[in-house]
Amino acid sequence: MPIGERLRYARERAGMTLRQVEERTNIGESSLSEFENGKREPRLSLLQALAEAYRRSLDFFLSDEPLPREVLLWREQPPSPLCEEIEGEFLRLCEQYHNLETWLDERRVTRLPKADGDAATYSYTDAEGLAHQTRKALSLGDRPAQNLLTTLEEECGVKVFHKPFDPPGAAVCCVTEAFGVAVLLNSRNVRWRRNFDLAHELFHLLTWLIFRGTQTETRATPAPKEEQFATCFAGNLLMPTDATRAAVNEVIKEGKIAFADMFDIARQFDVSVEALIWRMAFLRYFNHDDAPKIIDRYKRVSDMWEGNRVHDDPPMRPPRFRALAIRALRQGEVSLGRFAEYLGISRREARAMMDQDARGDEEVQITTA
Amino acid sequence: MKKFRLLLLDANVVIYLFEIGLWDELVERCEVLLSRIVAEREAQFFEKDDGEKVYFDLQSYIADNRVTVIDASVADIKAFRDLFDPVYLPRLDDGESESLAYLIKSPDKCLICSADAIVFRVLALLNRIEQGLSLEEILGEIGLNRSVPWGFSKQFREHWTKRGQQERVRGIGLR
Repeated sequence: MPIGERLRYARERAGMTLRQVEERTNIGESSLSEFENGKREPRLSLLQALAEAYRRSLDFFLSDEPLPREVLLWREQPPSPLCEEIEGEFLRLCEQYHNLETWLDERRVTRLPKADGDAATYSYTDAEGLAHQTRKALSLGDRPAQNLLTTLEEECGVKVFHKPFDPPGAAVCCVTEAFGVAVLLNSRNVRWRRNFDLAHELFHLLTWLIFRGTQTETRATPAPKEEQFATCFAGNLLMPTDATRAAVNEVIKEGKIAFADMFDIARQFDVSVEALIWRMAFLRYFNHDDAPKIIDRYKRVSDMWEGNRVHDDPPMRPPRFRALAIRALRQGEVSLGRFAEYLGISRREARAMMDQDARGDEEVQITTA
Repeated sequence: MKKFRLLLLDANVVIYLFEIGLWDELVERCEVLLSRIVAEREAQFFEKDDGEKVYFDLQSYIADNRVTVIDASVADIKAFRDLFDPVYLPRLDDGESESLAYLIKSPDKCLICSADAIVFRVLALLNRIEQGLSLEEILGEIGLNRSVPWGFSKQFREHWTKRGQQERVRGIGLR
């Protein structure tokens, strides 16, 4: 595909007008138009400026490969232009992660359980069954939230990033031909909320072919019913029936359960009390219609417990990404500038890390038993 | 007569030279070329220990012809890119890609000074190791010997050049 067409694609994908690009890059609108129409080619420095504005690598514009299919699925899609900015950053991170894996020959094939079904007839029973199947397949145990993120990243080849953005309920996942599957979670949310978000997005990844099929649009929004299935899946996955019943039954006294005990169970499963209440309603501990009222009552007194729950601040890039980047620098597979860009640090910090490595690694002699 | 002619510098070298206050001396003694991406986008400031950014002005050196800016076209970079396995180019800084693309197409024998392993590996793959230099070697030749961090050292250059030579022998990296 000619450079001009790639430039137009990237600009439109970034949600920018020619005027906006001119303001950002100081490249005149008429020049931009000529570049996109193939009337002339930009010199490399201008192409690099445009690549930065569109959050693409230079390589994207120089490639002769067909444009990659990048389908993003939003939950609570933010308004433009924030949506396009987040998407651009997300895809850029995916590309960087993919590059690191490729340079170090550490490409992880996506290994997720296969979901069966048909979009037209999909049911809550199917979502429950998928949750059970997934928990077993990934060996998540009785407290799945404790290791869901690590398992997906390290064993299943799912790239999980974190970034702060609004609205709070927003999250996005994608399936790309080039980079595999990835999820972007909102780091503004507390960990137990993010666990649920991750499980929710996992449902979309597992059922991608069922609900997306061979969709060609670059951006999708799940139907309300699909979102309900995802929520059902997430609850079932993170709070397995037997384990949840065992935990709840243990603390029921004279037919009642205290909020303190609910909080403790939610803490064990690393989910919100709200999610637990819905799960308990699903398991028929009380009427489904009573769940909202119970949640309201909890929220009135929740400060007592929620205030003591330890919050975290997840890094944007997963630990494996960082580890790969450092190894790439150490093995001379990446430039200092590129390393700094990938880790979001200054060249000075990057150089300090490289100078540290100059002292060389130490080795330990292994003796056979 | 300048000691080094047609000396391309990558962004890391430019930044470091300003940091240690040797930029003017080097420009005085060498014919310096900068790729436009390095001159206009990548080499803008150095950081002090406390993180404070100290900006420097390369434009005045360019305007006074003390430094020459070179451009690479898209065709140049594609020709350079086509020499390699496609996964190579994204590892380089964009300024390095522009510099190397220029070095390869130039009828003159340019030299390139870098602090990146991948640059020396690429030069070795292209059988142009004599065109790569470390900052330590340059400073030594122009009478400004000093101890430099690992990435700017001759030892660093030799280590990664050797790696590139081994890859060339094994047929790794080139198309």
